[in-house]
Amino acid sequence: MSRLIFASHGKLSDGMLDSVRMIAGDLADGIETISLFPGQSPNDLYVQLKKEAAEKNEKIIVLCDVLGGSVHTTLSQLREFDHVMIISGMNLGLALDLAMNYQNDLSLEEVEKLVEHSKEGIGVIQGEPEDEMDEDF
Amino acid sequence: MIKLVRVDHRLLHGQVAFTWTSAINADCILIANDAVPKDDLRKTSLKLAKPTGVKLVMKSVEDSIDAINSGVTDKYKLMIITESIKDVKKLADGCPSIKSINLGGTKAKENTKSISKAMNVTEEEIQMLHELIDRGVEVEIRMTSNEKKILAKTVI
Repeated sequence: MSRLIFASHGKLSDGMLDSVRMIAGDLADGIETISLFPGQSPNDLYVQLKKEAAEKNEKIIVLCDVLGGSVHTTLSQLREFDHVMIISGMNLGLALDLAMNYQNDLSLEEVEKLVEHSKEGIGVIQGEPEDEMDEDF
Repeated sequence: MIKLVRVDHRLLHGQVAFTWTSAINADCILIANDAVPKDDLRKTSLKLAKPTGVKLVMKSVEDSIDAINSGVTDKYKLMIITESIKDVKKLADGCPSIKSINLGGTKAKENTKSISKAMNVTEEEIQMLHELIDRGVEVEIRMTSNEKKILAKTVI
């Protein structure tokens, strides 16, 4: 068993899980969320997860909202555990890819691939489309 | 080889792109629809939903039937998407190799009744489904691949 945790400032992580469920259905079952609210210390979230990580040698993937935010910086200290991976830059594409794959005991390399893939999903569109050949069999 | 034939009024979208293609390990998606091949804007937007490493072909229903029957699609793990029961019926009528149909979603309209959370069908469409089922085609309802199959014959 592996754990997948969405972690964010405010309710983004809950909202993200809601959107994952809309697209991937039951695959969202079992995914956990952590939210940091005004007045709370991110350190408390870290201490709790650290305790859990130390108790059980089970793979944990934490998907944080933004690089360098207090959620990410604090939880990044979990890197001391070899069975914990901390990802930054939460987006729905990456959240879905993780939701569909995290139970497969993902290696660091495999997670890196998913992260790279999600970067390709960021772009902007304006105006007429470029002429593109249609594919055929 | 045809891995999945699906009816989904949204054609190719996140649910299909993310969960179905990986669940059935499809390497080619065929959108069988008469309007899409003539609509550049719609074609471009459908291309956006294409998962990486998967080929996307868009053809009219008639041309899709010809392509499937010619054998050019045999080498692919093919997922076919149509937007309506009418289209999938025409496709299945033309292609004896289609043995199973997945109903994903159709919009509710005035003259439709709901047969599942996402499927809304007219009387005429129910007749079409019965015809398919009677000649041995499996017709099942599932929005996402990890849901349990509901056989259409139990709800129509």
